Amino acid sequence: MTTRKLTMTALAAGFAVTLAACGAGTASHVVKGATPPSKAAASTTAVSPTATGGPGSPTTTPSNGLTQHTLDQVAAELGSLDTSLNAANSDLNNPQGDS
Amino acid sequence: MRRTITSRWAAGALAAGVVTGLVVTLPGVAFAAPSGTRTAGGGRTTAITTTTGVATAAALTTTSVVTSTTTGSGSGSGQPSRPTCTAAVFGQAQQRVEADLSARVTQLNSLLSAVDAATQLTAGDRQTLQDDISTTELPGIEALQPQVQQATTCAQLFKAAHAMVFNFRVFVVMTPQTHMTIVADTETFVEGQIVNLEPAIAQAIQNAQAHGKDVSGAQAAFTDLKNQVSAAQAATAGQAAQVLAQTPAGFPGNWPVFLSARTNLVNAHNDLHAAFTDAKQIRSDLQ
Repeated sequence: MTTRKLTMTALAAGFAVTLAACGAGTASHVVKGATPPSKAAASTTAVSPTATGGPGSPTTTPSNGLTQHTLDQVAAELGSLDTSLNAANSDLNNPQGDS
Repeated sequence: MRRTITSRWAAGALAAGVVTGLVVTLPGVAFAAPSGTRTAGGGRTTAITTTTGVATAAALTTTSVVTSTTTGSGSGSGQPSRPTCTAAVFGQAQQRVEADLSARVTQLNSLLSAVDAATQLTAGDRQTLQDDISTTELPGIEALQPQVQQATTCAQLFKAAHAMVFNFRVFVVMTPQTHMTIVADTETFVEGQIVNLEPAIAQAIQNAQAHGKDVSGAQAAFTDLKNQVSAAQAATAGQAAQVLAQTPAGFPGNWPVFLSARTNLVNAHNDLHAAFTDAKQIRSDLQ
């Protein structure tokens, strides 16, 4: 009787230890695995709007090659052109003499 | 205005004959007042002025012709003033030619400055203009200055004045030639600027479209931009070379060349401004 009790107690203890061990391992794995996916998700979220974007998301400065600076450069040359053309027109419309 | 200019050239052509005739056949004839200018006592002229600002033998003789043709009395129907050079007015005439030479030196230096300041001139065109101005025209005009200063006869004055006008054509060839070449090369440069933007604009429109933006306005403006630049390129092509090929000896026959070039350059100018407006609209639409 005593032997049977001891055997049952030992089995129960072993089962309890096994369960505890399994529970602890599982819990540990979940905790460790939860962090990286959250980081990855955050990274994807940060890249998405600028790299690929999507409907409704802000555009990535679509006029990259047409900056205000570029337009200003063209405008400056056009201004210079206007001045030169005015001079040429004056030469032909009102020549400073017939020579 | 066109009529006036045409009349002036007609007058100039007449004047050329008059001056040549005076130089060749009437060496004793020199300067005097243009038609309508009264002389004071002793035959001394009171003023020597011209409507064109050209104080030369040619201009002096053309004044009355210009007046008559521009007022509709018929081309060539006016009588040249037939200025006469006498001992009494020789000093005045001499000063007038000296002033005209000085004005040309000033003009040529101004043209040289314009060439130096024109950053978009091609190297070849810049060299051609600099050579024409500083190695031909300017030394030529400056060489006449001592001749006039040292002249003692009306014939000598006429000879120098004739050379000043007919050999160099500072105002009616060299001047428009310089300014129009600068215009043509600047337009070519701007055409290149805008053409270089086209791939970036196309990409920007594509990106905006991928982001769900309505790019129909930008696309239409881009199409127009390309058309405008193409038209400008067609209008500008060869103009600088054509203008630079003109010589003083070719005047007045080469004047239509300048007028034609001016038309093309003005068209290109308008095309480029339209293209620039398109570019601004594209940028605005995509923002």
